[in-house]
Amino acid sequence: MPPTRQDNDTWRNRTHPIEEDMQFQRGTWRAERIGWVVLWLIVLLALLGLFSEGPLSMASVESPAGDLRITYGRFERNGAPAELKLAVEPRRAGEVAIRISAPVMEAFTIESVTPKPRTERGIAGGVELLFPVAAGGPLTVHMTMRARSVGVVTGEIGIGENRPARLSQFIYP
Amino acid sequence: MDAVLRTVAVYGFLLVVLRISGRRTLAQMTTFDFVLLLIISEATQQALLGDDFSITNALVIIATLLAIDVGLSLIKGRVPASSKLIDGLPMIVVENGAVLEERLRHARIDESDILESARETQGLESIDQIKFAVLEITGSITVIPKDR
Repeated sequence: MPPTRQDNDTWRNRTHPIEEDMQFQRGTWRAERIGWVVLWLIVLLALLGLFSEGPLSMASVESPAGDLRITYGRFERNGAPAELKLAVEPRRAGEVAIRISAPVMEAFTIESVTPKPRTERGIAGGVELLFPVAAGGPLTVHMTMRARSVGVVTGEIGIGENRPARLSQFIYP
Repeated sequence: MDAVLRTVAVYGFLLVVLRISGRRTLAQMTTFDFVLLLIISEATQQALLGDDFSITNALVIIATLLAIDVGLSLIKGRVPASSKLIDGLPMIVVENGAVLEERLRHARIDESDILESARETQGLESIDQIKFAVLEITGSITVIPKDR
């Protein structure tokens, strides 16, 4: 179909009754289209868990000795609750000492620990929580933390003197 | 410091997102748009205030919002290009009774929107009674009737 008068005319800049800049207008529309794609991408990535809580965020790490497995979120948000699950295989009945390094304690406030530790105390480079354990049974500790800083946090959590597991998390503002 | 940064981030994001979504989105408010606006403001309020409900925090946020607003209007006054970028430009959609179809399509409006505005503001009943219809930067359509 040959272009009609109007097709050729569509993008011409009028000056009356208003001053137009159709080149700019078309640029705006292109930017809009790109913006929509970015919006949909944000939604998709949010569903996948890039902004915490989702498959991309779920992570777990084991200590070198295999006595501790930590399930945590790779991505957390400042001011939002963060869940941490610690599964401990105690060597013998008695007491298990979970040591949490200072960077973790600085980036998060511990809001609750279940089960409650018998005592907690400060040690060089962090905090130690002492849990009584029954003979042979594994111990699972759920911690609810609240992020209070922004950026990458690399911390260590371990059992007593054993080499700890390292975990790295990113906290969004 | 935190409150100011939060406010700037939220203001900037809203500016960009509302610009991207096109001028029509919140201009001609349907019932659902109204609900959308309420939800957006609710989500925004949480992000702005955080968990600090002090008067100081509220004052800092209000001051920051107004400061950005005044600052932007000053910039817009000095630099015409920035006004174009932030607010966009008006565009003619009907010229001497002829609809500029391609433009309508890109702006995501249709003839019925123009006719609605023509009825509402000028009491016109058909496109060929319209000399000019202009899609304004607010998203409303203004209609200039032909001389009778």
